[in-house]
Amino acid sequence: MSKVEMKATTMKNYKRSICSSCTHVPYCSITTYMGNISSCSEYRHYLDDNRESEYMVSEEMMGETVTMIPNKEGILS
Amino acid sequence: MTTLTKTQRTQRKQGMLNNVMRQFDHAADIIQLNGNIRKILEVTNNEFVVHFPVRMDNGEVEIFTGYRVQHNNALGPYKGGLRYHPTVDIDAARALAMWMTWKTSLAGLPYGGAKGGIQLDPSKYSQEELQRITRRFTYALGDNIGPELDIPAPDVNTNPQTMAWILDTYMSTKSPAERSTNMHVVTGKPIGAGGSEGRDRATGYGVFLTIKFWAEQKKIDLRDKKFIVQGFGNVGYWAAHFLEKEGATMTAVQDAYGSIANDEGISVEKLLEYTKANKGSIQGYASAYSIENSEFFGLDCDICVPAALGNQITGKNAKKIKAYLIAEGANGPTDVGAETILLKKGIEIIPDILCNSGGVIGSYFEWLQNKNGEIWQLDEVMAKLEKKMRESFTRVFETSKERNIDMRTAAFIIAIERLEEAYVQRGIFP
Repeated sequence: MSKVEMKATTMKNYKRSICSSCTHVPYCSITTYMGNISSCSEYRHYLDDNRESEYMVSEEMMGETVTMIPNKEGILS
Repeated sequence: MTTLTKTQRTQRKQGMLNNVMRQFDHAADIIQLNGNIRKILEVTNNEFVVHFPVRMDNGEVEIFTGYRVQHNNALGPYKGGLRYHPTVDIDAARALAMWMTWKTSLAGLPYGGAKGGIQLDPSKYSQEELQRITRRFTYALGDNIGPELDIPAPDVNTNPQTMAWILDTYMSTKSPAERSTNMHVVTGKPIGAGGSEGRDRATGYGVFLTIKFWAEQKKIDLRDKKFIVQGFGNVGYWAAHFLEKEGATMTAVQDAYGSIANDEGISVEKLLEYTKANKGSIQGYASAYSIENSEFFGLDCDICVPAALGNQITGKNAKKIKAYLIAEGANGPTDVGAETILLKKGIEIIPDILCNSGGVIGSYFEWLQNKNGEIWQLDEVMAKLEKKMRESFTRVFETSKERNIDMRTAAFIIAIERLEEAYVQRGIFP
């Protein structure tokens, strides 16, 4: 099993974490403690990879004036 | 396979809530908060759990579970995000709702705290299904949300489009004459549907402003000061953008893909352009070199902006930190052990509850514009945000100085005292 596959399998255990649906998990350089994450600016849902890169805001900081990565989570609202 | 005991599961589930409660208890002990008010603030006012059916694209009907927890409304309508994620449940919503109460109170807003969402994995549903789910959830919540009662906002996996669906559904349940008076039932709307200019940068600008105000107090010129940013999302980028505009130099960045550094400086705008063309990644940016992720927080700099996620500065790496200021753009980036080490070393921390409050203030401005039938220009929004953030920062800074406590404790004290004052003045019905 490759490292990426291993990490993907491990993800199934992150029931308490938004990492459980984040595409960065196989290589995330920010954290290896993915068990209980409730907020992350780098969060990227795998649904986003199938969409055009539109500006997507999140939480209490959203608007729509620049082009950035979809579904980046920001600050808890 | 690891099997968790019931106690372990409970502890894990309540971890977030415990963390929020610990900070509350610490501040409440210091100010000797009235016991009765403490009892009120320790529990949530209302908790809604709704089960609702939605027809899927294949014709089958699926039942969803949605949550809305309203922690406290002593200062005004409940305010907080709605997230769509498998982790959404009542415990998570409670903790995050409570956090919102402190945050809105500290920011001096006429709001309380709430949180909610739907327990689902959005990747399993089409856009049309998500729209039907959102609309049906809004209908299920009914008049338990409202522009003067509880105002949801985007969160994980929800966005301005989601808010536009909620707005449209909520308005549709009202009589024609009432509909346009309900625009402020949600914030974080698309600008064309009642959203506000400047909300995209409000949190990052707020992070920058708190750094600027701190520097003013310390008589430090931000020009040529070196800063590092963890997270190059909305918050990290905008904070870096404004710091660079002020003359500071970004010398390192870490995102999900890796870490880069250049002691001579990394152009914020050029890096953003690069990430746009590189699937959002900073890796491979030519004008910087890659560094080990573990080296990031130990880099030589003046200001450190952790703007990605929680528990990044820990007892393990705190000793290596060379910055003299940490501005918490993310929620909870500094853990308890690290904070003790940093404060002992004389490193100051602008706490998350203050540092990243620009976002919710931006939301408040959107709500105000809708309520009053106004449309503010970007410069107006930014000027008002600066005024509001300055008030918050000054209160925290002065309280910290007067009581000889750290800024985090000062922030919690201010937030709780404002709530206490409201209860003392209003009394308890009947």
